[in-house]
Amino acid sequence: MGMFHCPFGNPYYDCDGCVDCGMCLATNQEEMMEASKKIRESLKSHQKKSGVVRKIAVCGKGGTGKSTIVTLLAYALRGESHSVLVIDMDESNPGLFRLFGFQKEPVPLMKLLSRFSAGEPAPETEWLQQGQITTDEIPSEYVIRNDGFTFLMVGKIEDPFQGCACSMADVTRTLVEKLVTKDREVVLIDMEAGVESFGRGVERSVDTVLVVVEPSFESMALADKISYMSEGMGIGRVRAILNKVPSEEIKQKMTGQLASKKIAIAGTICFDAQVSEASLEGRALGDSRAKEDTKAMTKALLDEAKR
Amino acid sequence: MNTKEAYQRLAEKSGHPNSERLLGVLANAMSPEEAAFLLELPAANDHLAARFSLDEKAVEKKMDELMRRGLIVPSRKGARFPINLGFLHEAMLSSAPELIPPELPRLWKAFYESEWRQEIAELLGALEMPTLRVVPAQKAVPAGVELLPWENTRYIIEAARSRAVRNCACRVMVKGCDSPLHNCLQFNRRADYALGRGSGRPMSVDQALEISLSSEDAGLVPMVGNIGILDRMDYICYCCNCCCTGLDPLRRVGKLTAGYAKSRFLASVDQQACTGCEICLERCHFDAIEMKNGPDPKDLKAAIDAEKCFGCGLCAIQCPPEAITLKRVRPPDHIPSTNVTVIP
Repeated sequence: MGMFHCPFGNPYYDCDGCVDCGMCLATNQEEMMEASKKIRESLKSHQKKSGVVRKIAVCGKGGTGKSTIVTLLAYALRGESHSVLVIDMDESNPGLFRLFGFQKEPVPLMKLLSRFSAGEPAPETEWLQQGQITTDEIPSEYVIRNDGFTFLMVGKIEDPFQGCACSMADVTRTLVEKLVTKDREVVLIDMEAGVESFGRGVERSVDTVLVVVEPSFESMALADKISYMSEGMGIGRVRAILNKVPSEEIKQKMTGQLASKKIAIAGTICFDAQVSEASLEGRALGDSRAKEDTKAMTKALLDEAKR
Repeated sequence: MNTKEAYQRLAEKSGHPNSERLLGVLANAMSPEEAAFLLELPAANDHLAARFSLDEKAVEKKMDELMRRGLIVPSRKGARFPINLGFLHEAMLSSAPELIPPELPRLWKAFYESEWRQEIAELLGALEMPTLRVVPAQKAVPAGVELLPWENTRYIIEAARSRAVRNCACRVMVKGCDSPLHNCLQFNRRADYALGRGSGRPMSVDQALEISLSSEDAGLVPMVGNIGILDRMDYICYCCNCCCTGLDPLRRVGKLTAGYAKSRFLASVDQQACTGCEICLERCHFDAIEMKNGPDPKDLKAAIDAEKCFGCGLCAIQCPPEAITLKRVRPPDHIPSTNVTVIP
């Protein structure tokens, strides 16, 4: 690569992601110096990326209770007078909308992709092309709303030609990147299970990653990997949520293990029969101990970010 | 415009108005008509069509071809001629080999060796901003040491959303050694670009890892962008000090650290185990190893100059008695990054 290449990974000037440092346009020492100043500034501004909680990715091994936690978190955030945009990316678990008390699901974003590839005219996809997108600007067919919640689902990835989820990940990544939240608005993403979608950059623009862990070896190992990757993505806040914890003793063990992996803990959700029951019946969660636990955890997370 | 004028104007744009050798490069790389075309960029296709009396399909085709030959590079406002010579050199010479005019590498080399190399050394020497960082060879990482994501080539390869391999533009030009050429690893947007213009071929994780390991074995220094943001880790270089257009210029003026950051590691020799075979001497690209008198004055033993060692570990991975090992000597914040801490 020699010495002259974009420090931010762009092929050349003014590609997506360009910070306008001008290094690729520099043809003499003075211009190079000017560019290097801008590069340093840009690196510094990256350092301040955390701060307020605006976009949260919730991830973890399949079956750890991600969707339930997303639901509980959404309610808790609303309780703290935030409006919440929930993005359901977990196609393996199609019932999330039910946990919010919705009767039917919105048109999945996946449909948009088929329009893209069919080369359909701009009006359908124009909203996604703008530089910034507010929640209100997402066409109403793709979202369902009720008091304080906006719900969007990516949908099952059906791409028989590519055989992978990459193109859908691109669309979702663009959306998450361009979403601008208003004051007291939070984007909450129910990530695909496992680490598959990590590294494709969907989570690049989130400021908080919450990893749900249950008392199992695999789940803890995955948390380690996700935490490592998140750090690599430059995400400022990475926290584990202990879920389905049956006893204080197990909690201590899990806490110890996470500490040795240097993973900070956001909170603990105790095993709650009421939650299992609601999940089994596919209905909205009522009041429960898990709900109380989540409330405390959410408050702590928001308070910490304010400081 | 006479035939030469368009080349001259391109050379001016790139800040080298008086270089006959650069004009030689440009004249070999493109026709005068193409040079005139490049001067109009960036521009909309309909404008280009009108300006050069072509239909828009022909303009599209021309643009695609120029991109494949590395004469233009993409940007949001439309593809354009890369006026920074570093970008131009890399785009042209990393193109698919059949698209590179046979004389072009030699002409680039003539320009580089007689004018540009010195210029690069002065520029980078003054800039004092290491944009590349040496990372440890995979096999040299001591057992039990956990690498950070941005110093871990295996991890960068695994985490990339797309991967490609293409030729090393520096070795294509200098041909200073017989090291493998086809090992410039590209990721994410750079991979998309390389695949899109046919300069790179797609790779699986395993294929990329294999290239990575064999390049290290071949004695090439793994380097990455000196930044700690994973999805901007868009390439891994495998460099040699004879061909690399950054290492060689800076080494000649003794200012390697102005352009290259060290890894967090340092090589260390077990004097008892060292047999004095001198293989490490040949493998070091940083002149960091000397043979010195050991415990027994009759025996010469390898000794590491800590100032000069960049911590790549190439010496360690092919040390027959395994006398050389890497030690971690720098903290995580040695790497300019988002400085994220997982623990609050």
